[in-house]
Amino acid sequence: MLLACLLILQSPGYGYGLLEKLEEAGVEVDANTLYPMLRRLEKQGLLTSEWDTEGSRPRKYYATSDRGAELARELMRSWLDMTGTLEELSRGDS
Amino acid sequence: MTELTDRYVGATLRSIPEKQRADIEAELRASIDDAIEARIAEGEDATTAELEVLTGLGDPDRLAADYAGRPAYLIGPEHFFDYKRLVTVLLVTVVPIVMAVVAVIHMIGGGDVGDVFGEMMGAGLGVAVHIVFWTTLVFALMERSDASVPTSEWTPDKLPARHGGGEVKLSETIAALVFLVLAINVFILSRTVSPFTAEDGSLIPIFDPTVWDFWFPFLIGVLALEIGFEVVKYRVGRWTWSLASFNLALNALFAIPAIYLLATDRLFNPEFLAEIPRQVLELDLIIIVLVVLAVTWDVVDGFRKALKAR
Repeated sequence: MLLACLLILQSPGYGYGLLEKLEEAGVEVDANTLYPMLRRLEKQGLLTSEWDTEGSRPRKYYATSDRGAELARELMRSWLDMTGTLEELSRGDS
Repeated sequence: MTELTDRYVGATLRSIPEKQRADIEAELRASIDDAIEARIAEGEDATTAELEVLTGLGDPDRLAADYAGRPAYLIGPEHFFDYKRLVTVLLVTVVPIVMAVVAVIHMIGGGDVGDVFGEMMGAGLGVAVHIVFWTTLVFALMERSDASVPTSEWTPDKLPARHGGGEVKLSETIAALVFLVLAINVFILSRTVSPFTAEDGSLIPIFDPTVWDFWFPFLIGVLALEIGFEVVKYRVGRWTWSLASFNLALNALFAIPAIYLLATDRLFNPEFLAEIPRQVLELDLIIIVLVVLAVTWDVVDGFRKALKAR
């Protein structure tokens, strides 16, 4: 879920909108897990945030920071590595 | 946005630190409203939508804890084992000592068995509660502090020794049996042997003769029980919790009446005491202290060995 957030937020998004996008993309996520997580990621410097006060309702927009993008790349790499290893294992060591 | 949402947001914000409140409130409300709007757009009515959204968000305390990054447990896996070991060691060593000391103090102050026992248990319980409470508090705080206190790294050095741990050795058993038999003999012989003689040539018994009516047979009985206990201990081969507890009971059975007799001046024969030079009369107190120390050590050692031999 962490990786999905970092990837999706490469274009800025806000709370509920993010929830919808993730579900459309097939990532199962609870609102009460997502919102605190966004905050934690921001605190850790992986996301930046900005309040958008135009429009009918003020909303807080999050975007992936540079550090966040870097972490996303690393996670992506290890994820793909692991997928490769798992495939090998399931084929039985050749 | 209705009263229900207000109450929910309020409940969540309650436990969130001051400076984050305004921001979290704004964001949370916006998210809730967005969710409600989306549901309404799909045809739900406003009240149901609100209810479902808030139910989905769940327990406000839990949500607040997640926002604030607080752990949902007192002491977590990282510190738990150190905590458990520390509490166990403290309880097993400190509580018996405190109980023994309190018992002695009250016996010297002259109380009956009921009083003494009550005070002893009360003190023991009080100390145990304090130990558990303060240790738990310290570890809970440690769990919540950001500073990472270095948890002691476990190395194989820390393994409890296999031998010389909680096992009962033959040499120990034989020594204990010899000692017990000697003790019984001392009691019995004291009727007929004494360092002092009276004017009419009869021996002055060391111990007060009335003591033979009940207490000495009782004490000899306890010593005999201890002999049996030593044998059982040897057969079992290692210390267990029940053995250690039984050990405690036997020691108490012996020590408490002995100290009681001493403290109430019923142990020694007054005529015998009269023969002893004055300075040695503080004998009583010295003997009491020695008995308490010996008994406490034996009891604590029993539990320690039970601990090691688990």
